[in-house]
Amino acid sequence: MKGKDIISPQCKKIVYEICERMGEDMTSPHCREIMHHIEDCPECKAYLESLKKTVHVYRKTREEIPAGLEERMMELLKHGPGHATP
Amino acid sequence: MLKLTDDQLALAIKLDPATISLIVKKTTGPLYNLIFQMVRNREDAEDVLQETYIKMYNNLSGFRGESSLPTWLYRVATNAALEKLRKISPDRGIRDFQDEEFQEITINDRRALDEFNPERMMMNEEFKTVLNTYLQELPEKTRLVFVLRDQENLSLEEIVMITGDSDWSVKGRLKRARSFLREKLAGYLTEGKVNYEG
Repeated sequence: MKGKDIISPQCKKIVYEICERMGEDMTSPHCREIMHHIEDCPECKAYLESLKKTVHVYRKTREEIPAGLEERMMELLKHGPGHATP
Repeated sequence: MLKLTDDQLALAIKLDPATISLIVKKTTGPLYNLIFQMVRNREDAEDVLQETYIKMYNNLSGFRGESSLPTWLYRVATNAALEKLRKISPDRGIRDFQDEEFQEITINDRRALDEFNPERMMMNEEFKTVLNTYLQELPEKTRLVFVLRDQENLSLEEIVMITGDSDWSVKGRLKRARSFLREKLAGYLTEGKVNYEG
């Protein structure tokens, strides 16, 4: 198959993600068509890469748990919520 | 996030304190992040988390295992966070992207993101603030789906169960969230407001 070995593993993964979102298997004709297009299209490759970078930076921005929060929740449930002050 | 064995779940249903502690230990971080990203206030987020655990405590014996316990907790937390938002801004309602609003977004110069080094930029506190500002610009339900999928790494099936929205709707929101944030980020980097060396 033309270009089968040209597309990078990273791009394959991205295409897989796209096809998963579309509810299709990566071997479906639609997904194969997308993969073949991306092999020859620097614009699409770059766009998909930029989407991936965007998701990556947001994965790193999870909110940290405030100090003592876990303990306060444990305490709340220790004797039952009737003892808590919601 | 947390997988309970049948024995653990049986113990939890009997409100075994050690199992309850295990659940809290494993779920506080993910639930707090989700709630905070929705209400954007530490005090409100803690209130909502507390409410979530109280509901868990009071209703655990009625938990039927139709979804996993973490999925069920995410659903309780999601509903409580949306309810808190309605209380905070009763006149505002829960927003959603309008099609015309979304179509106004343009494709920014991709070179900015080509040169962008995420690892270095994440060292920059100002950049983190900017990321959070853009995240808050997403309508609530769109933000919810993005946080569940791309920060909490849940599957689409789980998100459908948590939000009660259709598969189609969840996919659409995720696509719009990612594209919107990508455009915002590209715009910010293109305008040269940041030091690429982080």
